Amino acid sequence: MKIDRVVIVGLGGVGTRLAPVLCQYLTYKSPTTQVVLIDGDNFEPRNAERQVFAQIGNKAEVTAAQAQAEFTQLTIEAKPRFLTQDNVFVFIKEGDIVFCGVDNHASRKLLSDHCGTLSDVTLISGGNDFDDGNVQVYIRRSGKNFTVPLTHLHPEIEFPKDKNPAELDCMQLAATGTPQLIFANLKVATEMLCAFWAVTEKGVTYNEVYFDLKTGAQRPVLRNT
Amino acid sequence: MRDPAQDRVDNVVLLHGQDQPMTPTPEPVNNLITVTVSFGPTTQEFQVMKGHTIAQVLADPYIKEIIGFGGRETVMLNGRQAAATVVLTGDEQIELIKEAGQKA
Repeated sequence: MKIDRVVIVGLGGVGTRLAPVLCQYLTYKSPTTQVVLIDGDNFEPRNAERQVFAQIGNKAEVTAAQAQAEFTQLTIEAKPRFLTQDNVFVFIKEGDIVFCGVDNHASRKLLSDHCGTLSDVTLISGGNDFDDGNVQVYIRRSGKNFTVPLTHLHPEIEFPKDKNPAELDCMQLAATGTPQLIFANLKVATEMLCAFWAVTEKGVTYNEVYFDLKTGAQRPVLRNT
Repeated sequence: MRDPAQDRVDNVVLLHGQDQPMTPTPEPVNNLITVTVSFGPTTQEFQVMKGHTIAQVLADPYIKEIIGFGGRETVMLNGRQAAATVVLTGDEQIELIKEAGQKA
C-alpha cells in the first residue's frame, strides 16, 4: 500500500512515543511520505513524566522540529491547532492515514465522523485509562466502510461527555489531567503502530484490540460492518 | 448472611485458563452448554445449564468476578447486539463491550 501522507493528531503521552518510531520506519520504508503533526496544546514541565520533548512550546511544533532534525529525508509539518469542526476537513484529506492520539472522546468522534465523509482513509485511534486501553482501526475504501467507525458499539464516543480541547479555557485544560501510566501510553502507541503495519502490509484481521497491563491479556476483535 | 455461591448459576464450570487452554474443551454433557464470555481483553469459557438467559449467566458472581465487567455494558451474542432476556440454547459467545480508553 502506498503511503502518501500520515497525520498524527495529538502529541501527548501516546503521540510523542509514536511519532519518532513512525518517522524512523517511514524513512526506510517510504521516505517520500509527508508527515503532519497536529496539536494546539503546549508542552509544560509537568508533562515530562510521560511525554517526550526537548523544549517548552507547542506540542506539534516541538515534536515536528525534533523529528525533522533526526529524520531529514522526510517532510514533517506542524499544525499548532486543535482539531475542530471548522478545520478538520482542511487537515484530514482523502487517502490519509490518520493516527488519533487525543485525550478526549469528543475529538475521536469528530475524526471518525469526518473520516466517514471521505472515500479512502485509514483512522487508527488509541486510548488508555490508567493500566488498560484499546486501539480501533476505521478504514474506508471506495466510499464504503471497510471496518466499523470508532462510534460503533462505543456510545461513550458517539455521545461524548467530555469536550473538544478547543472549547476549553486554560484553567479547564489544566484540570483535565488525570493520572496516567507511561507504560499504558507506550502500549497504545505500540499497538497503533502495529495496526498501521498490519493495514499497510498485511491487510486487516482486526479492527479493535484491547489490552490490560495488570493481567497481560490482549484480545483482537473483528466486528462486521 | 447469604452464601454468594447460592446466587450462582447452576453447574457453572470454569473450563480452562484465559486464552491458554490447559485441557481440551469437553463435549457438552446432558443439558450443559459452553458459553464464551468476553470483556475487553479477557475471554473465558464456562459451562452453564441450557435454558438460562444471558442475564442469568451474567449475574453469576463467579463469572462476574473472573470477567470483571461492570454490568451496564452493551451485550453482544454471537456478534450481534442482544437483549439480556435471550435464552441460551446452544454453545454461545457473549461479549460485553468495554469502553474505549479516553486518555492518551
